[in-house]
Amino acid sequence: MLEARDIHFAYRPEAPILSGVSLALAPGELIGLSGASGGGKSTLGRIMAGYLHPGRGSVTSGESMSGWSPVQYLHQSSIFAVDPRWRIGRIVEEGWQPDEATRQALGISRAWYDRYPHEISGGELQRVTLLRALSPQTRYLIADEITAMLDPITQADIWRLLLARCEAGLGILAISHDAPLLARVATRTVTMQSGKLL
Amino acid sequence: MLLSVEDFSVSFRRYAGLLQQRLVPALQGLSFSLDRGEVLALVGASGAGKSLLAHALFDILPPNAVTTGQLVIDGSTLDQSNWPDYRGRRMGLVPQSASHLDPLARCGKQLAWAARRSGSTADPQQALARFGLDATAAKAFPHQLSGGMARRMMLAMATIGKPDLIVADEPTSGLDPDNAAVVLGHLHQLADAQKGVLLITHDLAQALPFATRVAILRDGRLVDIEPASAFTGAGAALKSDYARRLWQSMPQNGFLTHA
Repeated sequence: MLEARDIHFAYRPEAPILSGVSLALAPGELIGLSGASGGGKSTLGRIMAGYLHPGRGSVTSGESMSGWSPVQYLHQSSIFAVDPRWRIGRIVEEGWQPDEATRQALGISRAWYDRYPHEISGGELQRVTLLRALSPQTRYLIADEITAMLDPITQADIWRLLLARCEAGLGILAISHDAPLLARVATRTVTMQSGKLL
Repeated sequence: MLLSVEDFSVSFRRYAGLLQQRLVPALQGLSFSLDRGEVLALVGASGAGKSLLAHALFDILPPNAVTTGQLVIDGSTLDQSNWPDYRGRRMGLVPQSASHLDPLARCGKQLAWAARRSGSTADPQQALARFGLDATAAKAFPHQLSGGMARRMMLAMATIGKPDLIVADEPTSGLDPDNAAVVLGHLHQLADAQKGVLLITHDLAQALPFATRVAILRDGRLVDIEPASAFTGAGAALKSDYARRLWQSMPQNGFLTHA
């Protein structure tokens, strides 16, 4: 169980971003997180993945946090999540050797492997960072608007794969504005507004 | 005719080995036009070349890109000599990625640069308010804004000079439905004011109520251009098979059972 308890966060004390948020994600569960932009969704995701430290409150996962993190965060702007000097092949294989089936299910071509991040499209790079995160050691996935830049066909392909992973025990927190999408994929959906879960 | 794209292609020069070069095609033989008063939605799979077209229109392709064909705006063919007169003045770009913002300057300052470049006397506060942003957002550095706020900031920058042509690359990605409707509504208003809007988007459902026509790009080629009204029901009115598959794969429609 990946559990965030009573999380408070602010960059500046007069402008709190999260005020007392608690959320628990079980293995095999897919929680949808929606809400207005600027409400703190991504900040909560980054805190749960350990990228940001809460001012107050705690995050526990019951997993060893050394080495490859069992909680992987997928950035909504994937260009910020990759080293611009690395070729795609090196980025993909940073944490594990992806199997062919997963690579193909995500529609990732080997022809991209010798290119740099700026030489493939935004949606292609989004899938590259997803493949990198899907190591067998990943127990929880924080997916921040990961299909927001993808066409409907590719989006359906990716969610077909993620739903299968979820059935096999991966816990997924899907941050999205796409209500019809969350209605299709999520076990339950929570809404965030001005730093609080409704 | 505001914008006319004539047999336009983009390819990338790549080295195969040390001395041999080859051209990898990315956009191939694109031809379409955009009238004043129109919102043309450009949709297609990722990697189809949607953003490349936006970057080509503003001459910000990577240095190894090679283009052929012509981009004509208001009767003038865009080239190195007149791009500076159009770019950021008579045509505005809303980029796809927040990495296009200067990470070292406060957003308000970057908005002021955009206003000065276009000779606009518009009130920056108003430009921000139009997209639901306030003075706090102006004081922030780009990394302190949420994804959706950064996108709205880039919209304010692109539209503050009231350009004739607005190219918006995924302007609603990361926005909640209310804010997305505000943004698309504003783009639609610009079209009503006889501007031209090229709306690059993956989100067909969201774009349809605001678009006049929908151009579909696949693997670097234009598949076809459909009137927005043809996307309805099971998609029987759509001319191309690919358009119908896009339509049917949406979560609102068939989703996982198609594609």
